[in-house]
Amino acid sequence: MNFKTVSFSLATSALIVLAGCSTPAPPYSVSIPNVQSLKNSNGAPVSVGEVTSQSPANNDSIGLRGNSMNSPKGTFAKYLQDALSQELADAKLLDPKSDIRVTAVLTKNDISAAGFITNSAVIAARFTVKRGDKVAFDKVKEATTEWDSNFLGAIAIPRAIQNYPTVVTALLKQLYEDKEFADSIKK
Amino acid sequence: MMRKFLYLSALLAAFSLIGGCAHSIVITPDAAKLGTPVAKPSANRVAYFISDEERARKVITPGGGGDKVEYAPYKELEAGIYRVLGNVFASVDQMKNENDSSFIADRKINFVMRPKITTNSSSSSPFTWPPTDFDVIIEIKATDNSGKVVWQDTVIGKGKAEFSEFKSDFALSAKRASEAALNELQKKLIGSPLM
Repeated sequence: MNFKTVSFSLATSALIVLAGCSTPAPPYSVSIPNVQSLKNSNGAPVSVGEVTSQSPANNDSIGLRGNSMNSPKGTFAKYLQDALSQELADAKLLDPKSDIRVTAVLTKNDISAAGFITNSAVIAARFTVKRGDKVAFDKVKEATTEWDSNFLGAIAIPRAIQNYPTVVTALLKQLYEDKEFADSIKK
Repeated sequence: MMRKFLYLSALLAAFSLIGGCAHSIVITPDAAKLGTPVAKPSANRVAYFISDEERARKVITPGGGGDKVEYAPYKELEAGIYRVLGNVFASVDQMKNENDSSFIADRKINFVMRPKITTNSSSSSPFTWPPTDFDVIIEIKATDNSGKVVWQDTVIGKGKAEFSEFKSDFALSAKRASEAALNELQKKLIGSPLM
């Protein structure tokens, strides 16, 4: 094997590592302030119904400079459902048998990773709370987050992926801090 | 000679993009793989303290091929610690200030937990940067409301991941180590006199 062959093989291998990969978003890590906000709501235990998605929300994957990010839960709607369930569980407010039921429809879910200076993420969902058959809360919440980016994709892409849970936390924070939501799940 | 130079340049350019730097990973475990609430939780109320400096602290440890990985162990494991404490005790609070006696009295806290986290990583692969082996060590100390240490223990979580597994999740060995350490912590707490 000559120098040229070895060089070409190594360079090709290196570029394969960089290009065309689909990477899962980090697992959702509950926000302790969000959990505390739920605890302070004096809410009753609730159940979490299925979270679905509608266009234009990216539900299966989000493109990031030729790479993509997928959801470790299968879909991003399921990721949001799991995040909501985790925070309710940690606040000891999750009861799958409760007839106070929270559901949501993911309506926006995107990351802008092309910027060399900053990048951003946006997420929106329509949250509904039903007490039995009666709708007690029905509102759209939206959150955006921004972070420092980089010219190099090798830095900018992982940074974008790692910031995804932050925008989910910001969305749920808005929900929990809405007094009408707190009222809708009151004991 | 010129062609040789061009190949060498391409090779160096390719490796400069992925080599010699600290790759950011997130070591948060999947919450679904952590322990579940115990059937009879302790009636004791606990709080824990992690300083803002610890939460912001980034740690760099070895990966493969001479590269390194960077992560924030306290920030990324805090939710898991909160979950484990909540699985075992009646209530858990985050303390904003260490030794806040009025907070301890107001919230009727029985024990304050102080975790110390250390980590290490390595790789058996010279060609790929994600660590194949990862250790998470949590040393935890519990004090009563007079500040006296009433219990302390250390847990070690080890995580391994081979190339065929981590090619779709570069932090896999770290997540496995975090999960193992937190599940071991729950076991230790259940067997402790704090219950």
